[in-house]
Amino acid sequence: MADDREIERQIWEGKVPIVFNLAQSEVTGDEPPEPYYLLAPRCSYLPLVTTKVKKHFQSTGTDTEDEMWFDYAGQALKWHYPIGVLFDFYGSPSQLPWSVTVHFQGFPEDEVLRCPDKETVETHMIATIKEADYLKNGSTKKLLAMLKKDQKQLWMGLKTFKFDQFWSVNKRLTQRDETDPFKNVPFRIYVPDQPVLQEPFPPFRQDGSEYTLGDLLATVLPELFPAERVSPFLVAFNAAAAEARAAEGGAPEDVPVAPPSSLGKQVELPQIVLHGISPAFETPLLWLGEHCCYPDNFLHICILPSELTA
Amino acid sequence: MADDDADFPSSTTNAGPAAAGATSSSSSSSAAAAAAANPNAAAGADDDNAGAAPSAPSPWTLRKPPTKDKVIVQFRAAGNAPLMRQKKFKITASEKFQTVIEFLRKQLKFKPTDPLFLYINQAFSPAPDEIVRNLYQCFEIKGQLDIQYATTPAWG
Repeated sequence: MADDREIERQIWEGKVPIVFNLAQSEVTGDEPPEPYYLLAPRCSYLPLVTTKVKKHFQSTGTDTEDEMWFDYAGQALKWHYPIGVLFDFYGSPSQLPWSVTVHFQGFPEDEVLRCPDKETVETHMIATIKEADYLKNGSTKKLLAMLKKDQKQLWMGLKTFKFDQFWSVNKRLTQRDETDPFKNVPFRIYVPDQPVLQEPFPPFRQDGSEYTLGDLLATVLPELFPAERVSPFLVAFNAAAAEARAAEGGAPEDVPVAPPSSLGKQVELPQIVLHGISPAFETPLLWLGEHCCYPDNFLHICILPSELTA
Repeated sequence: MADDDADFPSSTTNAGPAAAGATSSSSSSSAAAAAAANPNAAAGADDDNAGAAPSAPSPWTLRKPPTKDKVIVQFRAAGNAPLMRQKKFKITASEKFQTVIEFLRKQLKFKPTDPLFLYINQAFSPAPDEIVRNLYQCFEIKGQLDIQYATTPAWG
């Protein structure tokens, strides 16, 4: 398979400019402390890049006794989501730098997990890679086959944010193996006001061709992404299935040719954002999974209202 | 436009086709407020079913039928963790995994400080905010979600 390393490198180098301001209610002096500016890697996690943010506010006399946490426009930010996902879902490329509020009080226990140290991030990252490995292979054999030092290299590669260190090991987890293809492409889809979507979804169709991003979206979010707009394959598949049942004399009423949709053709489809860009519906899902996954080996896809309806 | 984008997660929303058609900002933001008031389990189940599984079974053979509202979870002790008399429970699918952890702690009469580690399929620990439905759909075996628990890290 073609080596698309350059794609992985470009994604790795993606950064979000963030300005951190102390929450108004936690300002102790007459004036709020200076904001802190940071270019944060999209593929990293907040606790890995905000040590200096804490030091900055500490130096201004802020009470930093309790754990630091962040919100954007009143929305608490989960540190265990990659920074790029948080920005794509909550932020806006038209408003930069991204203005994040820093808190040291009132930790939102119900919304955000505690993260006392960087080892907590390591535990989370390795656990998520294992979950992805299990989806891909039906077990965690790929990760278990890895030497402890290689697992450590994955973590150190992310912690110190060194591309070669991380991807030289990670490619063994993400690259396709012709003799033992992946069972599923691990993904998480974020839709406003809905729980995160995560389902098993295979990379290959029955005829051996590859499923596309459009096929995935028309399957898991048929009301937002009608098959007739995004998945020629699914339309053909459904039509063939309906025909086959009709030929068998089966009841046609339980075979909707296309999933019901209240979205007319003139309505803009929602935006799909992955690493800050909108991938085409025709993109093969497996290719996305191999090259556009985050370091935790999941594809994190944000679905946002179309620009016209926003 | 820019302002709308910035406000989007907390106020004007477009969760689904119903909201997409709404032009009155007051009606859509009150719906959002209602959802925000009840952000956890109860709202989750309704949203998910309404969004993804509207009616008749899909001819799409890939997709498993929409998960029931409750799923069966089977707990197994690992290492020298205390055994449970009853091992199988029905758990609301829209709950977070955190609920499972708290439930198990209660069953075992563990103090909040007692160490407890949970694993799925002897392989990995989900994050506490993962949705039980997702875990079930991805990792169930023979119609149930197998969860191992231990008092020391086992498959970490």
